[in-house]
Amino acid sequence: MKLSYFNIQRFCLHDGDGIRTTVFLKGCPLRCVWCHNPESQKAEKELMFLSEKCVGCKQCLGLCDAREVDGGKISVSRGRCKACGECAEVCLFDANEICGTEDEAQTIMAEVLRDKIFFAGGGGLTVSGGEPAFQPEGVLELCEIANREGISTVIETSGFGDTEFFLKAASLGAEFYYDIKALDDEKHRRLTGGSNGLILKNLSALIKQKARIVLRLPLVPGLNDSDSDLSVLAEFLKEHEGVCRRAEIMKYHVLGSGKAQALSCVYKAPPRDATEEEALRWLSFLRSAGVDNISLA
Amino acid sequence: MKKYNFEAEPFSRAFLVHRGLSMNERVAYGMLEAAKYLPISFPENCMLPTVEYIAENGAVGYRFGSGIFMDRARFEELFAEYPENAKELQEIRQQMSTFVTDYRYRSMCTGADLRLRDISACWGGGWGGHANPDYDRFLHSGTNGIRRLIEECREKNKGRDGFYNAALIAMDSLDVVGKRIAAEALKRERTEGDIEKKAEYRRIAETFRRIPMEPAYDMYSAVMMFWMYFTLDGVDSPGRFDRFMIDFFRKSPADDRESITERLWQAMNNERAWNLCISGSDEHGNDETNELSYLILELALKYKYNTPNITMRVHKGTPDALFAKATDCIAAGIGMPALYNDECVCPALEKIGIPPHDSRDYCMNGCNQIDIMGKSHMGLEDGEVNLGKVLELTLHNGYDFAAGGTELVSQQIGDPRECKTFDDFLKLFYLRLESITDAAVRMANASQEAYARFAPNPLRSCLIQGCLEKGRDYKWGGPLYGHGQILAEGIADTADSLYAIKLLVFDKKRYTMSGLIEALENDYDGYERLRHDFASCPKFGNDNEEVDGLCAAITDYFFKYLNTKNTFRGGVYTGGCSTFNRAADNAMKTAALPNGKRNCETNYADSIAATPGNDVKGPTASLLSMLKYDQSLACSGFVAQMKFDKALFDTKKGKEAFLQLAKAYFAGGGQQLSINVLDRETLKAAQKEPEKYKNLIVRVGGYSEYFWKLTKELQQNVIDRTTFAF
Repeated sequence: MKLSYFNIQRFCLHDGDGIRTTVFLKGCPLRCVWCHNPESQKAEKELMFLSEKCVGCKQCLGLCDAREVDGGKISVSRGRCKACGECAEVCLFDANEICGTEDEAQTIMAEVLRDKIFFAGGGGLTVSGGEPAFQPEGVLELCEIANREGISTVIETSGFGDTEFFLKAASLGAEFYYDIKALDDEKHRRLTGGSNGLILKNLSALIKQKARIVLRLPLVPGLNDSDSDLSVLAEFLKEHEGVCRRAEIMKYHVLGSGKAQALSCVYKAPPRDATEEEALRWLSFLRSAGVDNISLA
Repeated sequence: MKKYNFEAEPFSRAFLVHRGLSMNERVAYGMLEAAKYLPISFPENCMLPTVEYIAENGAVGYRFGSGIFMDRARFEELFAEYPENAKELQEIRQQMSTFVTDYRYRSMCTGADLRLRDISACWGGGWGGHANPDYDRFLHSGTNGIRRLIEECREKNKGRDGFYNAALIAMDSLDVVGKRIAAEALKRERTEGDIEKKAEYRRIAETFRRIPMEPAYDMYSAVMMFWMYFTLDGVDSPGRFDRFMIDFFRKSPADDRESITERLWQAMNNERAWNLCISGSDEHGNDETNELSYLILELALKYKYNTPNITMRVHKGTPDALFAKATDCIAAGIGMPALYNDECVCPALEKIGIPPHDSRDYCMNGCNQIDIMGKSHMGLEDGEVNLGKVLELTLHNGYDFAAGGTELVSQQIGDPRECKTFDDFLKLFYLRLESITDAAVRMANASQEAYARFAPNPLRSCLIQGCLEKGRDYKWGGPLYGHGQILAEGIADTADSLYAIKLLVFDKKRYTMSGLIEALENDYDGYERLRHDFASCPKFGNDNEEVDGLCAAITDYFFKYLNTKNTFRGGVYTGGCSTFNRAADNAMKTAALPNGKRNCETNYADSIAATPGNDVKGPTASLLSMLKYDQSLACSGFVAQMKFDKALFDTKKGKEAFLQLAKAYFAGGGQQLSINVLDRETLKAAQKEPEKYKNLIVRVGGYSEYFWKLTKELQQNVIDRTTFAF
């Protein structure tokens, strides 16, 4: 089964145990405003145009009708760009790049397994995204191969997908790094474009099946970190302490904004990183509300 | 009118007086005379009696690395200062100039070979430095014991009296220095006001009543004796310190032995001692770690000095606790210890005929050269071949394009434009490689012969096994093992270039050989498209079978060719790769290459790793590329340097990951790993010239991006948080 992805990153240490190779899939049903991998949202190939790298040599003009010049500055007309990649071919300055490619699950796993000698300390495959549940069959094939090869699999997910997919992945030994973005459904819809009903349902199903789960809490100042957000979150976490391995606070950062710009997307999240003080406030709030097994990621 | 005190020229005075004797005796007399005048100091921070290199106190002298040397500028000063003594000075200069080792070496090389050296295609010899003497013999026998050994050996090797006489004189020079230390310490004791220091001078004087004539008897006396020899001979590397010191260490009270080791640590930093080796396994695979191994790492962590370089020998049975301590040191950012894998080094040494009980006693000297403790003269760089320059000369059929392409510096072997296949071209490259390697070997052997004939080393001959037993000098094949090491430079640059030629000229036929050569002749000026295409070909360091395979093939070819060449010292040549600062020099003198390098550009392969910035898939891919080499062909250091973000080492998880990397690399046959911890300065440099740091990956959970692609503003954000790694 083919999978659409935009990067295979080796030597990842932050998304699961040991040394891991992360496959970043392309395609996601949600549109979180703070998304730090905006190039992962659309399933199709896309052009990323790094305007800071562009020297205005105009080699790319005339290749297609998606290029515009405005006072010496080159820009891309998104509606007309077919992501054919010709501009990336001619550009001598790395300003144009096609993001996204398709490969068979086996081919992707062959790349992942190149690092097998380094996976001895519990490492292995991490499937990230994008949303793994968005390409369920391909991801299950990745899980199967990893299972057969004796390496661990971590799925980083929003939880927004078919329940069946999650249960099958769990039965293949996958561990889940499961995002809890907002517990208030109205807020969840506003921030991510989707309801959290399915997400919470899938989480319960996974817990019932005794899957290994780490809860991840992307906290963004001013969006989902009010005292009332945190109070509800604390209750939720306490209920899940025995059944999930732990919870990790994912401190918001703005590193996705540059990529959003390269894709000509509007970046709607706060223009600054969460501060150390904010992160510590979240942590101490949740701890003093009785959540024990929680840390800053 | 001032009169020159010719006692300041003790070495040349004694050397010239003893004309008619063997060179060994003349040098030994020179050393003995010099020993009477060498400055002795007791540095404030360690109070360890420290002697200057032997015979360096005149305008002419003898130095461990360069043999007999002459300081021309010093002579000019003397002529100006003492016109009355011009005649005598002139005479010394004239007579000694026939013996200056460097002149001898140059006169024994051909002009054509020296030209290849000037243009950085290769070099051989010209230096005689690193050694790891048998401190066991010295510390357990003393000079009196060694004298007895000299006489026993003299009995077995009749007719070699010149050599043995010189050995005895060398022992006398050690005694002279020992007595002078005792006398100087007593003198200072009398005038010293500080009670503690007074007592220390007293103890030094008492200790030097027995040593170096008699064996050392505890840690204190062993350190004194070791340090006296170390500084006097100018040996640069302490070798397997934890192994040869441990018996003395265990004989002494805890506080005393630790304080003297700590003082030695200061002294070694004062004098820039090079390579100190800890741990390792014996021939049965038993671990040899001891309490001194741990103490060394503790001292390294406490003082964070950049010297001595610490090497830790690693094997399957290395204790986790030692690994953990080593990781702490590396995390502290001192870049040490470098890790060496017994399971790769020992088999490599066995391949060139060193039996297991000796291969297991290897240690490092200098930066990364491998020697057998107290038994060999092989751990020094005998030469180097700049593979990138070899490729340049292949492409231009012998013309040097770093200097404009008008001078034919190497023979015309064939016009690459006539090559029908990539293999034809590779053949031309190999022929050129052989021809340039031959030049390096010729120069290295000329140098070894010049040292043997004109700069023997009677002192070191007593402390390297084989010399006394055979009656042959350290420089003339005396040691048990006399192999040589010629290093490779620019491996990845060359492999990347060859692969780009294969891909674009022969496989895809996108460019012609003439087109490429024309572009290179013009240093890519006006050929930006071509340069971009060549520079964009897959590069070594990314776990790519094809380009890595080519890289391994050319290195194997070079190392196997070296194995067919004999050293003057009585061994074979083997390969290695540890380039350090020479990389930039060599790159500077190498013209445009098909990997996109321009003339004089200094970015060049970092030892056996990728050209900096080209290994864009992170450390695991980089290590896997390096495992494609047959590392058991390299008996000099085969250096893999890695850089990591400090944040990696700040967490337990990061430390575990690092150990996992190291263990997997070694299990896969890797020889060496050294780690540098990234600092903010590197990151700032990367922000300034992002194209040179295309391998920097921002490592934040779940996030995916290279540093160079970020906007300047976000790069600053990353620098502020410093959480990323190569």
